[in-house]
Amino acid sequence: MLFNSYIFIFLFFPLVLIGYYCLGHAGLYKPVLAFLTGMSLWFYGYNNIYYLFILVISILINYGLVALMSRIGQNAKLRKCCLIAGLLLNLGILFYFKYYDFFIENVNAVMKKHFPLLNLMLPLGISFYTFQQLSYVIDAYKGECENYSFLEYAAYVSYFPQLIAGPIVYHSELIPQFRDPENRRLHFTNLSRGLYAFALGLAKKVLIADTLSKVVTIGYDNIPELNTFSTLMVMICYSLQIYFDFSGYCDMAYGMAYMMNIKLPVNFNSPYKAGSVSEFWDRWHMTLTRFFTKYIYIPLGGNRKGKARTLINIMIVFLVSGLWHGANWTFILWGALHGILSVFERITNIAAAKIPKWLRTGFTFLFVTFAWSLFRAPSITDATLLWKQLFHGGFSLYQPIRDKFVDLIEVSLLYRMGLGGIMEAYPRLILTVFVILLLAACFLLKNTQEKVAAMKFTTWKFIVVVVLMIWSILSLSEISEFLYFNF
Amino acid sequence: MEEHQAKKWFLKCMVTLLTVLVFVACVVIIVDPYFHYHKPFSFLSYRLYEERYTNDGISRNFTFDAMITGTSMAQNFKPSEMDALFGTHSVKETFSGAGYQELSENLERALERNPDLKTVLWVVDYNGFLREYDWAQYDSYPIYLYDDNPLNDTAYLFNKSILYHGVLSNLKMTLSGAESTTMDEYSSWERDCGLEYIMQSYDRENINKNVDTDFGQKEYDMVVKTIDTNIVQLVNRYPDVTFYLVYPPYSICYFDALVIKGTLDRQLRAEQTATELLLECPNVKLYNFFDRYDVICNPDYYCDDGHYNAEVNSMMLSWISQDIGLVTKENYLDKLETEREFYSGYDYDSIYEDLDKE
Repeated sequence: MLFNSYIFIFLFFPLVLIGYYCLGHAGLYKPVLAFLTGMSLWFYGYNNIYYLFILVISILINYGLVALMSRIGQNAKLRKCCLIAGLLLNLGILFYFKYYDFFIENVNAVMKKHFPLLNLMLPLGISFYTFQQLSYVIDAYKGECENYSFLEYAAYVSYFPQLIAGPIVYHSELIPQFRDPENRRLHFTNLSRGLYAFALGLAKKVLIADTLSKVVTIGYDNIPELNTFSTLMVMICYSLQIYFDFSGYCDMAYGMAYMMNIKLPVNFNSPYKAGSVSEFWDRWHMTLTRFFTKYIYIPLGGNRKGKARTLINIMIVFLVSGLWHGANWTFILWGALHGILSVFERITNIAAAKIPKWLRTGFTFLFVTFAWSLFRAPSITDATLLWKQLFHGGFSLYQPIRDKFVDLIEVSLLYRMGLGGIMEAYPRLILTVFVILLLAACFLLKNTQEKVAAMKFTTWKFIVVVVLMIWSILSLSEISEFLYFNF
Repeated sequence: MEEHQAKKWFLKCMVTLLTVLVFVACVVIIVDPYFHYHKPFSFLSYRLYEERYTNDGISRNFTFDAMITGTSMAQNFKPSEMDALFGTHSVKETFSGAGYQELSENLERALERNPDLKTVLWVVDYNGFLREYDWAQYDSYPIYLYDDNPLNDTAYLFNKSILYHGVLSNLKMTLSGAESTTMDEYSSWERDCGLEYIMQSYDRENINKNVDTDFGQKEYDMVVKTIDTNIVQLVNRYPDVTFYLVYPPYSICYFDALVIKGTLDRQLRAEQTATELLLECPNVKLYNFFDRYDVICNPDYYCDDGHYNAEVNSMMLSWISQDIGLVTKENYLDKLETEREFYSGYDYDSIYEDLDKE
């Protein structure tokens, strides 16, 4: 189930809130956990019941391993065996579903073999809940983990706001909040603030990211046809699409948890305001950076083993990050590029250099946008072709992109309002203005957490929430026209 | 204090959201641009468009006893002409670029819902015999309109493009006093016809001979499965309905391409297989106009190698009403033989001679 779906908004989430507060009000802790787990499993298995089995088995195995560790007591060898088993099982499951085919494809290509592929469907959110559970097993091994009941653990791993796209929340952050009885009592302040965050997130996802995706899809499907202007637009639109998509998802997750008095860690802090690539990673998908720092960078020695080792550790983290994002050489190269820039920044100590902030921010945005092409393109060849098209020349807007944009209901309304003449005369205008406004929002506006914290329950906020919610709900489904040019 | 303010604010949001959503839903239900809930109101004007959104609603809520269906080959039929010739009260439900399965499933839903439906005119695309039974070009179907699950109607009720293209345009038409789209107009089209227009999409020079031109067991099985699953089984389930099935008369250029590709024989054998299956159905009346050389060999009726203009649709209705072109167990082999002789011996180069002179 997606947050941006009718069933989620009209049925699932209202039921969650009603059940959570009714059971919570009656002081029933275990039933609250059981209810949350049950609802989360429904959420997860809604589109594919097969996903559910993998999640449930994964939860059972990890909880079982940690329970075994606590029974073993101080026997270091056996505890280590449990840890290794946990690492192998979690990473093994992830490898099997996410990386096996990529690995075999490369083996086949290098060794000229024809080993069969599995062609498995990737279970939703497996990278997220695998990492969460890895942290649980490692922390338990280190003795940094309290004893949790199975229900608490299951509710934590499966907690739907963070299940399929993060943030990667630690057990020590979420379970204590579940335990606090005050969090199971209805607080309209939190309910309202959460609703505000949810409305902002839903609008970012549905109204902005999904609109941009139409432009981006046409662009990436027709790379050889693009000229310089259109390529630039497609690259920037993708940069904005992924920004608003992820930001929107994080806001919705944050907002929903907030409505249940649960504070999820901040995962997205205006990343395009970053003045360097290293800072970008302190602002983008912050809980992933935090995870890699805690469980890879520091165990590798972090910055404690000399400069060269520090730089190698940074590169390793970025390569792993690239691979975590997707099983394709494009993602690995994308991670490597970010790694190289981070290493460069570290060597040159660019943060201390007297370069104006706006210049560093501009350069970081351009680099990140350039690198995102690898993230979106189906192959490195496509990405390089796109970069090449930047120098193709030509400053008109690719006609199918323009047509798609003009076809938007909102743009059609502008036509009806009499702006058709201007739009016909300046075909690039609408998209360019849209992109500039979004860029301004990325660089200038406060992030959602700041807005939520400073929120006053004013009429203006009421209008914002109602308009964004209605507009977004009405945009969840659209007529998909059947374009059959030859009839 | 803040909690009290928040409570008021939250409840105000909820009440407003609910009120607006209920209002929007009511407007969509009343105007119902795709006839999902009720038949058209006499006080509203309706723009009929987007076949895949509209047709199921026509089946659900219109009053009719006959249906014209098919692909773009059937879009220019005029139900009013059919009614005059056959004494029916017909509707048109065509699907641009559809496969057999799509048409069959739509027809089945219509037959299930409307026991009065006793006459079906179905243009069976001649180039569809040798396709998989479930061949389709579209996968973004508005399933919420087709099924009977009221829960997923949310996608219909709360949908800005339906509000804009459906509700708003209908209200605008109503207010401006415009008439509703008629069934004759619905999904019909007009394009320039003639050889020069055909040649804009028909690239004769770049057609190559197919590597595989045989009609073997695999091809035979494909035709049988396609025809049996999508037509024969459906027709047999409704023995009291008369199905007028028509092979549409493609232009001579279509046959030219078959000859260049070397697949004319394969196509004719596929036609024979399909015909034999259809002739076994007592409630099927099958028509084949491949001997109407006056139409087929006249490019002025065509806008491309397959699509004829509305004049041909009218002629076809007239022929069907007189049983001209009727295929029977007795004549189908002779008809096929005549087709084979004519289309394999035709001087195709002569079609383009005038063009070369220009």
